[in-house]
Amino acid sequence: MTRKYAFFPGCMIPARFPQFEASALKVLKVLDIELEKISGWTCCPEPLSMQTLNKEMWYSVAARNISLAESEGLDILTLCNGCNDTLFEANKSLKADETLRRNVNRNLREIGRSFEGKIAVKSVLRVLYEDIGVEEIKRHVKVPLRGAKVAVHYGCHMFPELEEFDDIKHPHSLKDLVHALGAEVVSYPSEMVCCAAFARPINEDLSLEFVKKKLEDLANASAECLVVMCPYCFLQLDLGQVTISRKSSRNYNIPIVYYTQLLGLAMGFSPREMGLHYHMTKIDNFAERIATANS
Amino acid sequence: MRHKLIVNKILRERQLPFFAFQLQSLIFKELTLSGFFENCNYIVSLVLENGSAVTLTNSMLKRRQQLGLPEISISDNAEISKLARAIGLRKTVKEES
Repeated sequence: MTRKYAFFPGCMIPARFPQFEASALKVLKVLDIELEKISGWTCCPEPLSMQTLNKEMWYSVAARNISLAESEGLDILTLCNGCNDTLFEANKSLKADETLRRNVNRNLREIGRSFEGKIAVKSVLRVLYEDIGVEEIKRHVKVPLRGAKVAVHYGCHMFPELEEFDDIKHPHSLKDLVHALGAEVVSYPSEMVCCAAFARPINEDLSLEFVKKKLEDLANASAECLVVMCPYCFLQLDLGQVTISRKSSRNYNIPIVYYTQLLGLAMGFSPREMGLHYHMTKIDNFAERIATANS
Repeated sequence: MRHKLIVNKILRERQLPFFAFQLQSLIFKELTLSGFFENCNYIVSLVLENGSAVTLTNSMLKRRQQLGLPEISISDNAEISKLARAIGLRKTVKEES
């Protein structure tokens, strides 16, 4: 059965990490998911900055984006944790709070739009886990990640939505999806700790201490790669890893991958097709070992 | 060294899960707030001007082509600007910056 969603790629992924977008489009097509391109999207808006400066504007811009999908009668599928946090939270609050909805719709009238509360906002994680399901994912695995030790990092902005379909104290949805690919999922002490990406423009040294803590834990857990769902977490952990290596001469060499890239490898796509060659921390050794294990 | 102490203190005293907003408030107890607001203003200004928080570079345009992805349609910020004016945000951002 073909499922169709309004595709919300966000700002960061199309403009900084289009390899995530490319991998998602490829694997979702295999899974019979159709993505409708909606014209007129803007920034979600980014969950921290606009909300800090003006929450009414944050709700209004989010409601405008949601209204575009409502006019197509489609649920929204997001790729970025930040976009998902904003659109999911705004959608939920606007549906529940009549006064807020009235105020926001007063603003939207200025541009000839309105929020109706008719659709759902879902992350690609939720769509894969709930709408497609782990068993269906397993059915599409052609190159199992046998023997691979993979860790996960959900990212803070995933948790509002995660609360609706997972256990937020012990989340397992992403782990289940990684396990479905044939990999061994390894846990590590700082798994639920923020990557501190938001602190980087303010204080790089402090924010990198959080990255270092995670990398130390990952190395101690013998993780061969780390799966993320968020472009900001990716940036922090991939580029941050290189920065730490340069500063401290400690080379962790733990590749960071977006989940649909790993899913693509397991589906039989090449590392190049998944855009893994664009990453700062190279995945070549890991990918070669998987390929050898399956040859 | 001070940063390592802050991080260890934060991690020692908190229970997991440990989210960005908790971390944010704890970090702000230790550090100045001004950098954070400067960054907020910068990002919001980008959204108001371009409809997007991230500027697309030529190298990323090329990467999109290499990956076989379609061009990004330029966001129309006209509606965002109207919303900002109706709410009074543009004025706030300009005053802050």
